[in-house]
Amino acid sequence: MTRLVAENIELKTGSHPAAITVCGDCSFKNGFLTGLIGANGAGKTTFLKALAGLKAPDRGQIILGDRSLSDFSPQQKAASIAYLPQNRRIQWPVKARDLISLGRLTYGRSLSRLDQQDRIAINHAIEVTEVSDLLDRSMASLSGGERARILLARALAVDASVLLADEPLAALDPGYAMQIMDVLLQEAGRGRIVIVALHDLTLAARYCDQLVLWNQGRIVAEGTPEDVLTEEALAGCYRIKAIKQNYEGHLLITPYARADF
Amino acid sequence: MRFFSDLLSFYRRHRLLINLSLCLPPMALLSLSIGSTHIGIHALIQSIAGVGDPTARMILGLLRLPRLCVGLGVGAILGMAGAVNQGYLRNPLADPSLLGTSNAAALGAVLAFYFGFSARFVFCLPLFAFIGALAGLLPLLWFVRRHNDPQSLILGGVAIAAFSGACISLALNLSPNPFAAMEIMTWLMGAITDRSWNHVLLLSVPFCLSLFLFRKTASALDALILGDDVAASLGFDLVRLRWLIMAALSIGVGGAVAVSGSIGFVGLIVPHILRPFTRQLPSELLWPSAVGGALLVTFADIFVRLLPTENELQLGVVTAFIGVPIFFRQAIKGVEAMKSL
Repeated sequence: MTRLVAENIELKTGSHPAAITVCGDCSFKNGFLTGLIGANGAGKTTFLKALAGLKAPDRGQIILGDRSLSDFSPQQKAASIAYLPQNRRIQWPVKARDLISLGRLTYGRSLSRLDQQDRIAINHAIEVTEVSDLLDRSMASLSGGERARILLARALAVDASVLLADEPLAALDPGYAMQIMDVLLQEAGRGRIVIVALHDLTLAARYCDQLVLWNQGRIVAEGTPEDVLTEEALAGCYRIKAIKQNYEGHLLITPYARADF
Repeated sequence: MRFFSDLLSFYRRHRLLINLSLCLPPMALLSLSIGSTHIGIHALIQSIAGVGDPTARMILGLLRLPRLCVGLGVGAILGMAGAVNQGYLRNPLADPSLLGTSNAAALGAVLAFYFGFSARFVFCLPLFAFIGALAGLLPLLWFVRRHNDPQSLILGGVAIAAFSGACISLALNLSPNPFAAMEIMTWLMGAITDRSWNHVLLLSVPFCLSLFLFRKTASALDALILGDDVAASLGFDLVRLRWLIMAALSIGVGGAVAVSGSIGFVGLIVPHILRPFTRQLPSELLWPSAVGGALLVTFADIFVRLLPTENELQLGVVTAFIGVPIFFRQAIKGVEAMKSL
């Protein structure tokens, strides 16, 4: 079993020191889809960047398998952890097919020299994200939802054991959002560690095996959606009142008012 | 049969580069043939074979061949430098002068003129230009150590370019006589007339080194399409990449300015013109831009010789005149495509 562990890490972000502290072990197992939830600025993105090895913790360490992430070479790290950022900006109007192939740059090959293994990984990514009809289109001509799926396919093409996705559902309609979550769940089912930062609490409860709730740079709750999404937690972290109900075995969270303090 | 299908697929993958490369020999022959003394194709082939009219052989060996080599080399460096710069800075307006390298090199050369070193020793001028390019890099390195992102690099580069430009204007302002000012102005416009094999030799090292270093950036430039974080998560060391590009730029552009003066626009327009013929991947643009740059400078140099002007026009002026209309057309198309991203 592969484990990704954030061991007492502490990071300072930006020019205004706002330390994000993880107390105790925050551990992620393979085969599980974990959702990071919390208000804007709670520290989810910074934490994901630390897990991806893009920001070195000021204290503590990240352990993947049985080794500290700081002992990994950049190439080993890149082959083990795929990162899908929140920002969907693409600089040049490349074709969707080429963009997905960029995931294989991890293995030191140029795009003109992809081998059989690369093609298998790319084809798998295309298949699960259902983007085969978009491949020959320029990224500039795609809608937000189509672009999100192509970018997810790029991250999947890395074929890493860990997939970190930072708000992949931002600005997507419910259909596209559920499609993305289906893919993430399916990838977790294939034995990967999948961690996703989310704002849609119903989708988080519907799809994630475990949730980690962030507030002001700290983890305040961790566990199953039922345990984490309590009325007190929602009021404390999001300052909302929400209706919790069960529908056909699924937990639905519907915010209806701002909580007064 | 398999050989032909492999050949066809190789051609399809590198179509742009192959087509541009096929234009090089006729362009080179044209460049060798045209000038104040016309050398026909028959005499040209005879001279290359080492027989025929000794005057034609002398003109070719001592004047036109080194001039052609310098043109090809300078064009290739500037073209590839432009493609790398645009890819790295993710800015279609980037060119080699954006980081101040061209201006700093030009300042070095102007100082050689101003203090009269250029008259004392033939290699003083290129040497000063080269030192200028490297000197321009030092404050930039200090600056980007504190601010590690492409935008800061552009800002630092613009500051160096502006400072070097101001120093050049000061030198012109304080110039002891109008002839010295004229000499500086003419050099600043860029030219490859009267270049010798010594200049070719001087350019050969920066040419090989910079093109080799630029080529090493190809995959990282592709990864940067998705931004710094994704490129880093794909295993690219962005700090190393920045050093690599800055070193290659100062070596290459410094060397080019050292032998030819400031030839503008090549690094800006060549990648722009060629980009629509690629898959828009920065890596695919590097070698075609090098060949395209070589073609553009050689073509402009032929053009310079064909124009019936009293004084031969400077190369930098002609590259701008040829390139800008094409650039304008391509830029409008490119901006439309970029807007929707």
